[in-house]
Amino acid sequence: MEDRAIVELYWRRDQAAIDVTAARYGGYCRAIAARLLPDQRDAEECVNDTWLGAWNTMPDNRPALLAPFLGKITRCLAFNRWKAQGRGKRGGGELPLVLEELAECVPSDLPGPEQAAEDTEVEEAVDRFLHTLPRRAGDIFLRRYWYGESLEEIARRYGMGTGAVKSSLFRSREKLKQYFEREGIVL
Amino acid sequence: MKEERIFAALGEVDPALLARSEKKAMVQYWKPLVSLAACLAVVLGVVSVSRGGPQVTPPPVQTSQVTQGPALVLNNGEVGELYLCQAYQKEVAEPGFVIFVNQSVYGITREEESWVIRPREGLGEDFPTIDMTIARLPGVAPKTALQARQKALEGEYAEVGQAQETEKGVFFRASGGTEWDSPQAEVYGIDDGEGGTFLITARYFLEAEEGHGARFRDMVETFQVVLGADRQEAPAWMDQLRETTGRLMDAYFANRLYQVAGLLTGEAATYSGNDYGEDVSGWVSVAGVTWEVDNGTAPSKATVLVRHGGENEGEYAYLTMVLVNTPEGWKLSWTGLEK
Repeated sequence: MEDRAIVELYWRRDQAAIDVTAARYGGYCRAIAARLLPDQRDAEECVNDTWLGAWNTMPDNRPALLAPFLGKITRCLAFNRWKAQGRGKRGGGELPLVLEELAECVPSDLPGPEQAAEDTEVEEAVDRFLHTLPRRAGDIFLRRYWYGESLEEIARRYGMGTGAVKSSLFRSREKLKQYFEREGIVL
Repeated sequence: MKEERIFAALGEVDPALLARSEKKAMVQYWKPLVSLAACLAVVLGVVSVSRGGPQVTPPPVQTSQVTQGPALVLNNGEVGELYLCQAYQKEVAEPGFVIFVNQSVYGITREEESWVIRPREGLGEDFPTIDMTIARLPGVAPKTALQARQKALEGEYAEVGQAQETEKGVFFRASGGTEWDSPQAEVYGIDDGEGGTFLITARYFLEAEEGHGARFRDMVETFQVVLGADRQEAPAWMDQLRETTGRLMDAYFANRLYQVAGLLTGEAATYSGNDYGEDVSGWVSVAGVTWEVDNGTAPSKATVLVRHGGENEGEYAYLTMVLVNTPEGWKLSWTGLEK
């Protein structure tokens, strides 16, 4: 069943929408949750909550691309769950490494008292920045920092060496930091 | 924590970018006509092609640029130094291939039953081999071909990886260690469309991974099988479009658009060089060429996207060329470069 037809089921409040979504996008969402949450039960709960989230947000939303729409819900749920866990319970997973790397993108503080940017400002700046990256560099950046994929997974996906992936990520992080600074974004 | 704000902000990124990252960038030929396998390649005058137009003296070569084999023939461009190598023959039904090779850096030769791509400037006998070999194995499926290759390499390399499915075919790596000069190999098995396999083996050493290794990977991305039937069914406009594109790419990267002034029209008629402002043909590594036309039967406009790598490994730039179909043939009307 095509995305448009599935979305139509949600809009008609037909509960079959959830079964169809789970069958089609269960693996996709599970992979996102599992990379961010080391405990598989937590990951599974996030996936189940994703269907509920989709049910509650359609209508009003009519996503053209269902995979990123659902993935975004899963990612957000997984991240919130991870943050809610105490440090001792967070365990391994890719998320601590991802955050450690993203810390390199934090812009230097500007001199004088500065107001931290609103969330929407940061979101818009990040989106604009990603549109400036060459396609391959942008894709690699998203696989790592949106999906939480390991360097090896990314290297396999794009047929590159892990060294090349690492170096692309390094350059993109540098660029994002500079972009924030140029745009006057304070975090 | 500030990094958590960045992670959360990434969650709101354009869904189209996410969808795009799902796929490995593919080399697509003649997108609107994918139903016709014929569209993947067209018959040029295979044995002797005279492209005409201004000539650029090619760099000194150590190996023959054009080598004829018993079944297939290599044709190389003449304008610049970045060639679309076509290895197939009109009269022969066997599958052939096309591949983009930067011939200012590499030479391609036919050796026995294989085609071999090597750097023009050899490093000497003290260094491990750097080359990429393309061999066709009729009647052998890609997975079987790779299994045999894995077995053969087990004696040569300390570590031979598992075969993985990729969009291009089946693939594995082999490594001879982690010293700077440890030999490395990447092996691809690509379905030839007729029950056989094109077996591609790239060999280099660890320190050359991000140089020659990356360039070989780029070349493999442009590799495209050409079936016998494809050559018969392709329309003339497609043949002309691809040939013109090849000449324009060569002249563009060499910063010598003025030498193909007859192929320029509209805004492009004012161009003399490229958007880099210098001759970059020495390092450009083409990793994909996509053609799109506005009409699959009688196109008036074509957009060509050339993905290419440069001095920084892993980073790609995109050259967009817009061509219009005029009574005198295809002409370039505009170029744009996204770095």
